[in-house]
Amino acid sequence: MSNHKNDAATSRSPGFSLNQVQRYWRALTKKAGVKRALFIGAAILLLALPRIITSNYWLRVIDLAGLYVMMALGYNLMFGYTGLFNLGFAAFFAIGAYCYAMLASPLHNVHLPFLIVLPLAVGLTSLISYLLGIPSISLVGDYLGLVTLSFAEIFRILVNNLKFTNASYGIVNIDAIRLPFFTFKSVSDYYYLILPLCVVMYLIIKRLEDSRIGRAWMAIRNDEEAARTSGLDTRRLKLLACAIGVAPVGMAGVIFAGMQTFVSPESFTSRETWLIIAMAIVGGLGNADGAVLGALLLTLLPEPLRGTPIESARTLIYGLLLIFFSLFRPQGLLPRRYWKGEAEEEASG
Amino acid sequence: MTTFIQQALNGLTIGMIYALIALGYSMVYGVLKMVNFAHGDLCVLGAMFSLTLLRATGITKGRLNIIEVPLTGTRLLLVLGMVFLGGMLCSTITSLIIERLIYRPLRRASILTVLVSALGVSIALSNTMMLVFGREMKSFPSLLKKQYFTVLGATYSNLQVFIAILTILLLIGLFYLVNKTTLGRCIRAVALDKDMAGLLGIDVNRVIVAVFALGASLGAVAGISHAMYYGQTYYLTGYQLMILGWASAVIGGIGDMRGCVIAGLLIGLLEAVGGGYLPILTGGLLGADYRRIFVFLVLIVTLVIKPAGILGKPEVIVKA
Repeated sequence: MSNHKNDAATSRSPGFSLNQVQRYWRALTKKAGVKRALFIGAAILLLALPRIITSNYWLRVIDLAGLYVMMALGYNLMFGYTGLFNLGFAAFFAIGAYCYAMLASPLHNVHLPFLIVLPLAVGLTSLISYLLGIPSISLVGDYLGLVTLSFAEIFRILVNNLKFTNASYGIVNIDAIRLPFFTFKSVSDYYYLILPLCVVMYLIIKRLEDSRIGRAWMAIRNDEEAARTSGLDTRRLKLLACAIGVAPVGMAGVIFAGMQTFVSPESFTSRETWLIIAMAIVGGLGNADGAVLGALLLTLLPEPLRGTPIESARTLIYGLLLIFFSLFRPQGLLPRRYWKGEAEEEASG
Repeated sequence: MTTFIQQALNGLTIGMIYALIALGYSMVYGVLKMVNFAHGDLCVLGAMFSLTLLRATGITKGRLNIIEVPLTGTRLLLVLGMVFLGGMLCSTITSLIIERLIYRPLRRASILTVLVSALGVSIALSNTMMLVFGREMKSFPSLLKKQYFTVLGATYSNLQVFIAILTILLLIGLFYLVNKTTLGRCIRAVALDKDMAGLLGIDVNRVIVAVFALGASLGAVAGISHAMYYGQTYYLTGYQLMILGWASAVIGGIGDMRGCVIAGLLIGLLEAVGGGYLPILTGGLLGADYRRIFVFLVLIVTLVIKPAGILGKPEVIVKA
């Protein structure tokens, strides 16, 4: 029944025959043995990846892709589940990165260990997002976008000018990430840090999707007034989405700073926000699998173009992707699950 | 006191430019209830295109786009006409293409889809400009031979006077158009209720096209004035103009034209006066770079206290 509904929702859009692919995929994975074999195969492949791909360059790209997976998952939670239009994601990425950069570098001569900075940074990122949400959360979509966009701009101006953050020079010689018994040195070490974090994030967000809170978020996205009438505290739920949604972004920022050992305001322009939005849209909003797929596609696919003349058109391509998907496949490559009767309502506006 | 008057005059000039941009946001929002992210980029497109015209006709030369022979009399008028009309035409045509190909098919789509598409248009447009016109900052000639007047101890340039007069004329024209003509009545009707206006025999699509054309033309004038005033243009300027114009529109009360003008001037004033006093008051600790922060603080405070904006009517902006 639910399958049928899903097909009805997706087959309306022209273009792709992706739902066909999806149907085969579902039929294939229905058999328990196939599913388990695929799962084990994928796990082995993921764990052994640094042994298969030996090029440091590609491993770095994959590490970055992992960070983007985290961020796209966070964006998916805020925009895809809850419908909060955040245009300042780059700022939250920067908050995480700058937290680590300032607390573990020669700039202020503070060298705190990773395990202390990580919760601090993630907590601070969430707190700032929560505080920003308090005045602005009751605003409708585009207004919230404007407030978060302005916040990102304020943050960029501050980081770019304050002596405290070493202004536009950025922070260099950031400590490599250290655990009590291990220091992460090479890109393959970082792979084994990023992969489990991605998996944990994915599982948490996947579980949230099916939880009471997740369903409440989606109810808010679909019809906030109806959700409130049904007794949901929409304000608190939206603030919660604000706080949780940016947590993976802050975490990605911390690891980014440790991995690059260098941060500057240049790395956190609005371009990063556009990229994350494009990932979430291309993959499919409101669907954790979609966010992962979108993040992987948009980081790995353009890599071979590096060095060619097309490279300067990269951001242009993100823009075109947003337009293309809005027009022809607003539900993304992997559409989210539709509830009974929901699809028809959405189509009729 | 002189500093204050000086900064206030500068602020009012730049505020006029913001007001023109805010009007573009506000009018499109009025009829389509969507934020046209690409508007800031359309403004810059006007400036970029008119700069290309200036170079193509050989009026400006070299990498710095210097005018070798000062423009005077009829020639100056012709060049100004070419620059402004050319820029307006280019922005308008682009805006109409975007409306027809992207916004119109999405008119019944969910608001989040529309926002994403508008964001996509903005990104695509600014990066297309980068590819076509180049990624470097371009210097833009002020066209007028510099002359300065002294008003109450503050200096005021003929360029500022020119921008002020041009804006005031455009605003008078726009208010006349919207309040006194048939087209204006149709625009107001569509803004009130699109479906009802359609039932009463108004061609809603034509009204929307007219609004997009008006917004883009005003935006192009603003973009060119901005480029002349600062002597430069850059493909990413559109992003700044988007934030400031959108913020002005929201502070003034989106959909309300008088509010937009007031808020645009206010933001210009705030930016200039705040930027002028910050280094003095903080002993150079906080430079003029921080001036934008005032704007955003005012925006956030406005949204908290009166989300509908200075003159806006409390509608569906807040769901609480």
